[in-house]
Amino acid sequence: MFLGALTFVNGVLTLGVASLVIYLFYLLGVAFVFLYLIKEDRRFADLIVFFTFVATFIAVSVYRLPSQTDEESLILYAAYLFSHGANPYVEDLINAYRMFPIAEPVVTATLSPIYYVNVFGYPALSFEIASVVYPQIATLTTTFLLYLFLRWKNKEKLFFIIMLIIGSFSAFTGASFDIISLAIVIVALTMQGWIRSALMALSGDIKQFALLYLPFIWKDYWGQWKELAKNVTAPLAVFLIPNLPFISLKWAYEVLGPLTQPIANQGISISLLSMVGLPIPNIAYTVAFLTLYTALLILYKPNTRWKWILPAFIWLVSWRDLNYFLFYITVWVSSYELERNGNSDDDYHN
Amino acid sequence: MSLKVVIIISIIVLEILTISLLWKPTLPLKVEIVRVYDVGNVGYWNVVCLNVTNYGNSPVYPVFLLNMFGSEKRWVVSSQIVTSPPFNSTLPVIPPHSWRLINISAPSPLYFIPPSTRIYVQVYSGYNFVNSPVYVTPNITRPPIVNPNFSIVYYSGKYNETVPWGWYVELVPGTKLSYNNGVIVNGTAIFYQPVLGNIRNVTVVGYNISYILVDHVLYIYVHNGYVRGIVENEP
Repeated sequence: MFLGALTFVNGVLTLGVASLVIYLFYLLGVAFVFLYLIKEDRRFADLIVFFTFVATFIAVSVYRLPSQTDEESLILYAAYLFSHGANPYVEDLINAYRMFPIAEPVVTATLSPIYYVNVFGYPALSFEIASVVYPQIATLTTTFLLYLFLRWKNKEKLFFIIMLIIGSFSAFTGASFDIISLAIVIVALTMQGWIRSALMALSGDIKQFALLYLPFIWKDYWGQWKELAKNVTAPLAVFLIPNLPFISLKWAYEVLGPLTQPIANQGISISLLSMVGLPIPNIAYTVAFLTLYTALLILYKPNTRWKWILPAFIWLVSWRDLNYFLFYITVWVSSYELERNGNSDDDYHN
Repeated sequence: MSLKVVIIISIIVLEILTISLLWKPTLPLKVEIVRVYDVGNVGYWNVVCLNVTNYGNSPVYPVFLLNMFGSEKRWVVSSQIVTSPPFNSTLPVIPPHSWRLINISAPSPLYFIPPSTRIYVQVYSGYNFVNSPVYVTPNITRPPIVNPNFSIVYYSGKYNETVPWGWYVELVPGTKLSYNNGVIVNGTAIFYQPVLGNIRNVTVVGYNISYILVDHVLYIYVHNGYVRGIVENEP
């Protein structure tokens, strides 16, 4: 808890801007983290979050922060195109880096003639959100709404555990929209039936992570055909509605981008074998990824909490993994606290 | 449970082995490191000259990755170096049964090779996702050539909290950059960066600098001086 709260408050530092006022609120946040260590008073948790919010809000609103990742530049530029009536899945996005320059060390290493990633690899809701709310404001607001939601559920400690697992980088900087996807999944865990499935799809409309949960959820409903139909059609509709104006073969190809784009391997998956020189082609990892997912789905025992953690394993054999597995570990840990009938043992029934 | 885990791992291993054996993924290349350069005399190698031989019957359009601190970074082929980032490059070509000398340079001042360390190079054919094996250079001391007769362009670098990042930097040979409360230039360097928003003029804080804002691009020329920060003046 202490480490989680400290990680959360230290997220202020990831913004890379400083002023006396920001440091004052940051230090107040740190002070209350230590007080929270001594006495688990709910009001201390509130103050930790309040001071951190004030510090980050000042930082974001006073200083113009440039893009922290190429993902952020691409989303911002896609939002710009969208608000001007253009389709980001058709346009060449290379101007994203002229309009929203980024530091070279965060540039994804491509394996194509193009030095930068110039296609949009996320579903449409990401840039639709960014077209009305600046990413830093969107992620910051979502983070604090997530705290308020968990506090309302009397689970505010879980907020700090989430921050410990997934870190607070994306929560504050707008560098990635993962926190928005995650917050929706956290809310979904407290729901039941087709509403939960629909929220999973809504999360997957921003970043694709939660879509991998849907087949596991469908297996839970196997045999209850009416319920299954609702749990298939509702998320399908929710996923497709924000994407409707853009649906095409190219859209499908780009949204599958994490599997199809020619970009360098990175992270801690077994594709490190290619990095050290073993002649394993990229396609072997993609097939392994799909094979493992299918095998885990077949072996999955319905109506158990395993569904929240199993997709984490497939990233171990993927070509590229930027700690994507942490998303699923966070959801799995949260499920122990948030699922309505899930505090006693691993087997439960919806 | 453990039996299921063993079966899954076996399937995955067999699958990767089978595809690797059937796919024959490697490019018919041989890569040798001919020279290393220390452009800007920074004490590290930031340009590598490669001799790339194509034994195959098809042309190869090479993309070079260097293993840098556990992750791979794409280095820039010298023929692709232009005064703005390589947004859309034409890759060099190595015709069948021939060889080419190719210089690759670090994409940012943050990347360099400590002297006398192994260099891990992997080559991809830029149009079809096929990779070469990794070429590990022998661990011998290669005398670097300091300040050869060309400059390199870096495409970025976060120098200081007070200086916005995303700069393009061009160094004159012999120039050394260091970072201490701003960018200190011992020699001659040009920095440039697009300026966004409704900015009419800027004030650059530094020493021995001259600067100009042309068509929303800010150019800063520094000769034996430093840049400490930039103040944007909105109308």
